[in-house]
Amino acid sequence: MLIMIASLSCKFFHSTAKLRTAALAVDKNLLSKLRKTTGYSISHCKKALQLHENNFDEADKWLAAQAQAQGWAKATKLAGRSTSQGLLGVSVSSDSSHAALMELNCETDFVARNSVFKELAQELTQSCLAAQSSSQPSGSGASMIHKELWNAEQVSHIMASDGKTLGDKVALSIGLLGENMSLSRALKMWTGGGGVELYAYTHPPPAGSTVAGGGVDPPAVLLGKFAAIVTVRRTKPADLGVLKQLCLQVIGMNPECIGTEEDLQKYAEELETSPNPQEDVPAAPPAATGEEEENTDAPVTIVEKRPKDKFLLQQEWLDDEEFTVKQILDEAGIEVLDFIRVQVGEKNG
Amino acid sequence: MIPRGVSFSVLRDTFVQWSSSARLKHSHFLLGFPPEKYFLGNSQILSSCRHFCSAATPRKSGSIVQKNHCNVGTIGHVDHGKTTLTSAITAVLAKCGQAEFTPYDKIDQAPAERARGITINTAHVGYRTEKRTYAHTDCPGHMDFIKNMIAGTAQMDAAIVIVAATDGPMPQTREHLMLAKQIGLNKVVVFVNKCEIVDKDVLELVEIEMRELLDHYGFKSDDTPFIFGSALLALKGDTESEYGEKSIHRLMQALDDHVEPPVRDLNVPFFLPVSSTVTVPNRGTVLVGTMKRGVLRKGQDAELIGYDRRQKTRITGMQVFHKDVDSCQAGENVGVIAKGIKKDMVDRGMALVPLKSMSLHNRFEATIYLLSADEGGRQKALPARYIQMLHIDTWCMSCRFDLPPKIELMMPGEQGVVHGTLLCQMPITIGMTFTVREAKSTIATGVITKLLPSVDVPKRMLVLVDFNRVVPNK
Repeated sequence: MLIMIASLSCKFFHSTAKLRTAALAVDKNLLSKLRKTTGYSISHCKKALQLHENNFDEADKWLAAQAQAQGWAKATKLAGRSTSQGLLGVSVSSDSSHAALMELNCETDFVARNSVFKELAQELTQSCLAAQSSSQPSGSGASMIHKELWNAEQVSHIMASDGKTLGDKVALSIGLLGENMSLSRALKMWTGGGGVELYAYTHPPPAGSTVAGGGVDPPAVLLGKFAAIVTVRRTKPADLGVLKQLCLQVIGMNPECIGTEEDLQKYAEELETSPNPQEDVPAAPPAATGEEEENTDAPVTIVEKRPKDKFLLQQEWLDDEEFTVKQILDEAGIEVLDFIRVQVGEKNG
Repeated sequence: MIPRGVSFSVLRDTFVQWSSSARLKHSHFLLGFPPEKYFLGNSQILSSCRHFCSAATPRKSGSIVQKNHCNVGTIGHVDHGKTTLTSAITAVLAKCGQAEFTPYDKIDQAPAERARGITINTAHVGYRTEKRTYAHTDCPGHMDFIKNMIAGTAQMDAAIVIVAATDGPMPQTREHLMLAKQIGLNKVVVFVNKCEIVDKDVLELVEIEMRELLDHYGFKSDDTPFIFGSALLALKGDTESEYGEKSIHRLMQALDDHVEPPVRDLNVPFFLPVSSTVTVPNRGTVLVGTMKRGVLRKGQDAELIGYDRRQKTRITGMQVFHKDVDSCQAGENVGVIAKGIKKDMVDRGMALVPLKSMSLHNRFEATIYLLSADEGGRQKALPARYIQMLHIDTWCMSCRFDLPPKIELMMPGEQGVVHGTLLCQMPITIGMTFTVREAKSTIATGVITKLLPSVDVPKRMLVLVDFNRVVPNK
């Protein structure tokens, strides 16, 4: 009863606390300070101070030492929960020859918007870019573009510059943010030189971003829900604006292939051989159960009106539909060799 | 309780086509909260419910006892006990007969709701206090709240921010408060959960930290009530401890005292969108519609506006429920006889407003949500100069959408700001919600946030619009 009354009034606060937890009283100011500097949960901060008899520095050290273990403990505890939100990070080396892309997932989009999470994603992307790929050929070989895909297991064993594995870093953040996270995949790309360059962009991009690649040193990391990496060869000085728009084109219009002469020819042959060209259009999704009243006409998948939309070069330029992508790229002296488009949470290898 | 005194035989009359289904479901809500029945699917119900509850006053035909209504949401970290609290509220209030107990696992099983074509992951429960009724929303993510706002399903009046005393505010609590601001909440109530596990000094620290955060994000922290409790204890039926059921009662009290649902102002100029017309022999053309705002009086000077036109008139008579009345107000379905208006002057989508009270516009800024491909929306990004049919209230019209200069791309599943240009100048107002349909599917839904100066539409072709050629609003 006494405790209850005292709880309502701060005046009695100290004496009551001392009565109840004799030796373990924690200095409130220190607790508050420790929370602010470390960001760890109140119960952990309090335990740290209790163990070190209100010695701030000792408690701080202890927390830092414990954080990794606690992060892993939390990570194990939350491991079963699904992570469908998150961010993609992409970065291109300053000579545009190497690119890395990684996906970091979390449970809610609240966390995906948080700065702690964003900083982690940036750091991980940088580590991926710096990581040596296992099959790096010494002498640039026959192929112009090399790709290596890492799964969750492989990525988590990559070493960051400070000697920690990426898995450790994710676990540390799980301890801090209290949500399950997973570093689900990463991609490393590099070119064999010879004027072949990589450029990348994300959507939605961090404010004021330019396309990644093309001599920014140190390489910037772009984060977003969608990412595109394009491999190009140029005959004119790089127009970063057009290259950025090209990445946006890949993200926004989701082409299936580049649409070179070869692609077009193959498509024409397919049309001739297949009696019904519309066959591959996916069936309409099943109508939602019962509760629609107004939508008597069930949702219909919007059928591609122009089959050419699947070829990047034949698509209309997103910014100005009077031109095709090919026209714009020819004008800018850019030849597209390859492109990659990734979306957060999509399911593939 | 609602006596079903409103004679539904009256409704069958062609003169006034009242949405009887909405009305019926609405009365269910006040009677006994069968949440499944009440909340499923029909997005209109919630909005119409609020509509009636906060504004409509009893008509002579039935003395409807109105309670205040309030939409409240819970925001918080996944492990801080949002669902437990929601369940605990229903458990505690069920004892007073003010709610139907919804067990913890039933709340998480809430089906994804489809509102105006959008799939919103949200759980709804209803409960009431002595003072008013509450519709309680629990969404898992930021985007779900935003969709909720844009679709207008459950415009939230207040939020309960939950923070566990064991953890204190988390880094993402900042995002929670930013969300509350973004969806237009000025007031929140903080529920500090799991208080039974920690010491008093920790509670004090949680409160200090939370108040700092609240101040930082522009909430008046001094006015923000903090309730210390334990959803788990309350759910278990603990009546002894301060943190048990008592904390839930304190929370309800705080909601009652702290949160004011927006008052529907009856003093604003009236706005009556015309949904149909009926020709009554010897009396002329009757304009039928549901009053959106304000009070309409017999004998008043008015204007019929829309489609680039304005027509001066005077209200010579009106009927509600087939009875002659001298005035009618927001929420009521009314038939109006306007002097000098011929049937062929009226088009669906025109509005009856007080003389010179508003101008027509054909350009606006809106926040829209593009439905994802899974929801039946587009597969690809919104192209430049996107022209499609826009559906508002009772009318639809060709509309051109442009992304503001700073936005590079808008993908399906995303929300953002667009500029819309209509073929004609129409009586549009801030807060109106609309949908955009393409190939028989809803692909976007949005809400008008700002009216922009009207522009010239040369040859009635929206592609040709030059945004610098501003014309006066009619």
